Amino acid sequence: MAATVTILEKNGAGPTTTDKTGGTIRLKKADNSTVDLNNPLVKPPSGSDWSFEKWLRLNFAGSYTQATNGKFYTDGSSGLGTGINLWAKASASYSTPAQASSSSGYANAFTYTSGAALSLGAGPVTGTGEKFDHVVLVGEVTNLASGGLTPSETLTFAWDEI
Amino acid sequence: MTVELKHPVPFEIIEGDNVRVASNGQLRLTVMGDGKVFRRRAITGIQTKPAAEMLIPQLNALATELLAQPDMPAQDAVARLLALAGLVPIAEPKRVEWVVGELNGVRVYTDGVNVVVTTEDLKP
Repeated sequence: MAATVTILEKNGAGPTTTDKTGGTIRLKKADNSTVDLNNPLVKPPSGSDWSFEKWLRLNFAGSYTQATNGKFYTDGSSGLGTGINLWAKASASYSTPAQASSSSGYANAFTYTSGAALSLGAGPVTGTGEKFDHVVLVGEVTNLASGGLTPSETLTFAWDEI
Repeated sequence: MTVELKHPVPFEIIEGDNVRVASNGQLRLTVMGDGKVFRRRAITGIQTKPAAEMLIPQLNALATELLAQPDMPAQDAVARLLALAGLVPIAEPKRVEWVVGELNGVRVYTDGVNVVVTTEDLKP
C-alpha cells in the first residue's frame, strides 16, 4: 500500500497543526493558519516588512514500507513582483514561529527547483506521523514593492516511497 | 460506467524472487534482476489564493467602470468578465504518482501514461 500523505502547517508552542494539502498558506504578521486579511505585510517607507515563519511538514498515514529523499521546490519563477521575496529553509526540529527580521539562514525559495530541490532529509523514514524536515517559509516586502495582484505560486513536496 | 478519480492511483509494488513489479491497475512495470522499483510521489500547487480575494477588488473596479460608462459595449463587458474568470485558478493541488524502475543506473519513469528512460534523476 501507498502512504496517505498530507501537508501540515504548524502554529504556536503546542504546536497546533492544520492540514493545508488543499488549502492556502497565508504569509502574515501573526502566527496562525487562518487565511484572512488580518496582520498583512505592508510596504514600508524603507527597509523591509517581514512575515512570521510558516512551518510546514509532511505527515504520513496509512501503510507503507519506507520513504526517502524528501524534497521541497518551486517552479523557479517568482511571480511576486519586484520587492517581494519568499525565503525558505529546512529545519529538523520545530520551534514556535517567530516574526523574521532578516533572511539570514534562508535561501530564495525560487532557487529551489526540481533540478535543485531543498532536501528535507534522505531518510529512510518509516511509520506514521510527521516525517522529514520542516520547510520554513518567510515572506519579505521591501520598500521597492509595487501594489496590485500577485499570482499564485506553485510549491511542491516530493518524496520516494516503497 | 466510467468513474473518474480525483487523484491518480498510487502504484502498488510487490517483490518476488529476483523480480519487482509495480502496478496501478492499468500499467504494470516489471524489473528483473538486481534492480529496484520505487514510487516517486509529490503534492504540488499548494499556494493559491481564495477566489473571493482575487475577485472582489477586480469586480469592484469593473463595477465602478460600468457605473461611469453605462453604455459600455456588451462584448467589452463580457470580455472583462471572462478575463476575471481567468484570474482564479480552479486547479486543485495535484498529486503526482510516478513509479520508477532502476537497473544498472538506467531509470524508467512512468505515470501510467508517459514513459521516460533516462539516467537522470527526474522529479515531478
